[in-house]
Amino acid sequence: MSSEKVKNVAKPVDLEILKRDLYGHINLSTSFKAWMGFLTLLLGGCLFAYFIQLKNGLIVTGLRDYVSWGMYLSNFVFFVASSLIGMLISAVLGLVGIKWITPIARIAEIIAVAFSAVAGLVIVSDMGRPDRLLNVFIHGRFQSPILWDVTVITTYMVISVLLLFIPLIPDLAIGKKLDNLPKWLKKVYSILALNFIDSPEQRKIIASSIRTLLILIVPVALSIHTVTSWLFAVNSRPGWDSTIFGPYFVSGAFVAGSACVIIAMYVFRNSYKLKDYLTDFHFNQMGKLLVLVALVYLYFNINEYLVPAYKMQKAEAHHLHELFAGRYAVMFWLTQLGGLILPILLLLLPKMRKPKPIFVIALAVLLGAWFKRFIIVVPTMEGPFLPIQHVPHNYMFYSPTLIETAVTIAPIVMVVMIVSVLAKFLPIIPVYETAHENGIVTK
Amino acid sequence: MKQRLLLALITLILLDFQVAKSQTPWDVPPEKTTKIASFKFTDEVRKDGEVIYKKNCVSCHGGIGVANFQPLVPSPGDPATEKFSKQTDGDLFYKITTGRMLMPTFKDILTEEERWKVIAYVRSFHKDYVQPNPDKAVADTTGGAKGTKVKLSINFNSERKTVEVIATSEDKGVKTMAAGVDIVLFVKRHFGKLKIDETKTTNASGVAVFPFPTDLPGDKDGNVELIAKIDNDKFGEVFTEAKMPIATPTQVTSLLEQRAMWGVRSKAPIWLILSYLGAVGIVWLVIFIIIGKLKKLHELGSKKTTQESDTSIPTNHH
Repeated sequence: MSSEKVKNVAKPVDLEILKRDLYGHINLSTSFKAWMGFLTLLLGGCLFAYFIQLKNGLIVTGLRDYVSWGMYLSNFVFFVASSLIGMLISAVLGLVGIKWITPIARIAEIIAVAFSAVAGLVIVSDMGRPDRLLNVFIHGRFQSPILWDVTVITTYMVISVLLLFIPLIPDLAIGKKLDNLPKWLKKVYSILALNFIDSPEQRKIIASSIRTLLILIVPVALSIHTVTSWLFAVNSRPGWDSTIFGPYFVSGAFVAGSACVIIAMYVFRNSYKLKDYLTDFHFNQMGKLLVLVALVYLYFNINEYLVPAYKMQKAEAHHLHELFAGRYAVMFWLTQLGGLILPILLLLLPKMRKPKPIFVIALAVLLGAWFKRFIIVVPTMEGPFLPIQHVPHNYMFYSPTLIETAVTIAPIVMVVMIVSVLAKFLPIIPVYETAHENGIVTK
Repeated sequence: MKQRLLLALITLILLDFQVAKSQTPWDVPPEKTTKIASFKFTDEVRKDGEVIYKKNCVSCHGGIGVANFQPLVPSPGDPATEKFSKQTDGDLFYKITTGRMLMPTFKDILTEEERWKVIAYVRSFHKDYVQPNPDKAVADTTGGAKGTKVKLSINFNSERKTVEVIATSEDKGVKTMAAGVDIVLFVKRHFGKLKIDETKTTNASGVAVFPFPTDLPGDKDGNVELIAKIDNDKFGEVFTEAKMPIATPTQVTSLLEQRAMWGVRSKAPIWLILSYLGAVGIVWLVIFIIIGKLKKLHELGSKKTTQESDTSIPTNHH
């Protein structure tokens, strides 16, 4: 990943071409309206399912006394994980000085904002009495990882919003003068552009603010997913009782997030005609990045399963048996092989790092990432230390209901909606930065 | 082969002997068989009995009518069965009182009244049971002089660190010191009664002296509850209780009192509060500084634009 001689744009450009290409997709097209209409209908259906849950209680889900964290909590972990990519791309790679991230950084930030904004709602869906949500803050204990989690997720979301917004200011300033944008949008742009006139002082403020935030977001992002892992790891239960749960979760998060970014890149490249800006080169680089983070995650996986399996302590043995050869074997092996090992092997081939194949591989990785969270959350809860006795069958084995599935889909739809709206009304390739990289004077 | 058979035979005989030993009938003295309770088994009594049963008996006998008693030898059995229902109240009372082999002696653990209450509860599972008329109950004072009533009182001798139990008998209004009465002394603990020293017999002045341990923990003021009891049936069930500040005071601080991870919020460890507030404070301070910078950015821009428009307005007039 050499940072020298990076050519982010595949054709010669000037400011007019950039304006035409990068603001070109910003309009209320019929296809966008249809897409949002479809998402709204889908969300409405899912929210109706949540209404039923609110009315009748969590009994409409598959959650019972033993498995009280089912699909909702797996979904939550998945959301927090996916949001972490903003930090990896912008902060880690950006601070190291890697140049090819320029056209990808905003996509990563949009994904980070969308997932972290909705993650909190996912938790609410797991609450039997969401009207008591405020009690988490009123009576929150400093000792509880739940309070830490609420704190870091909120903080991460705010920093992500700032990291999306501040680099956008110059682009908004350029965009507010464009004729082909809708009037109302130009007004919004004008307000949000904060009177940016590209003066040296303003440039300096933007550059230093971004730099500060990029440094700040690294520990915050690490703590958000580490704390999420502690929600599990502070319990001495088989499958959770692990000292490497923090890095295990963080590395897994980068896998899920990278897959998200690749999928988004592919979709925007095609639907917003950005082939010259999101080039094969960028997909190739993202492919290599995905291999790197997936290898790290695989390494943690081997630690996480091999070491307890070598010792086979009684409670762990039951848990591992359920994963390796029992009730969850199919899901486990499909996830590990199809969602991690096979993608790594395939992405080692340059051919597979072309946009279309890597898009398909990223879909598999993302699907695997979702089910991996399920495998981390649910089987442990089905195997408590004290034997389960004298309870109905559905207390012993968790199986999600249709309503629960719909309520789980709702936040995913919300994320897609947020990403769709932000990507539709903002230049998703940073204009100002691209212009400056190509030696174009924007003032 | 022959040797093995012989060995097996011997083992079998020995085993049989063991079983036979455990199955020897539990004989109740005839005068005890006819003993009956002196109060009526009302619902309230049965309820009390249920509480006592669940505390003292369930661990071996299991729930009544549930047949989940422990597989011990001899078998404790389920008190709902005929094995129990065909016995007299007196039989049950005697067996609870004295105990045998694995069955503990409840003489010192439960009062007579409590033992009868347990029987009342057990009897509620016996369909055909009719309680004998309690008015016909005779006080069990066979050994004592007729009409003699013995009373106990407890004193603490702080010089010698001894507990003195004084027995007095009253006959037709005349009080005398009762000599030769066997006395046991207990201290109430959380899960039963702790016997202090051995059974003592009152001397000529009617006093039984018990050396009292110096290291026995009491409540926060050093109080313990003492129970002195006559150790035989001669005088019926005679006991007295006294609460005295004679033990070592115990300061029990609740685990919830200290600052710890398991405490309420106000009991959070200081280092944790500081780390949390410190980290949150620093991060949010930076965020607010950045927001302040954005405000400055806005002001810088508006200054410039007004300057530009100031100069541009006159040129328009030209």
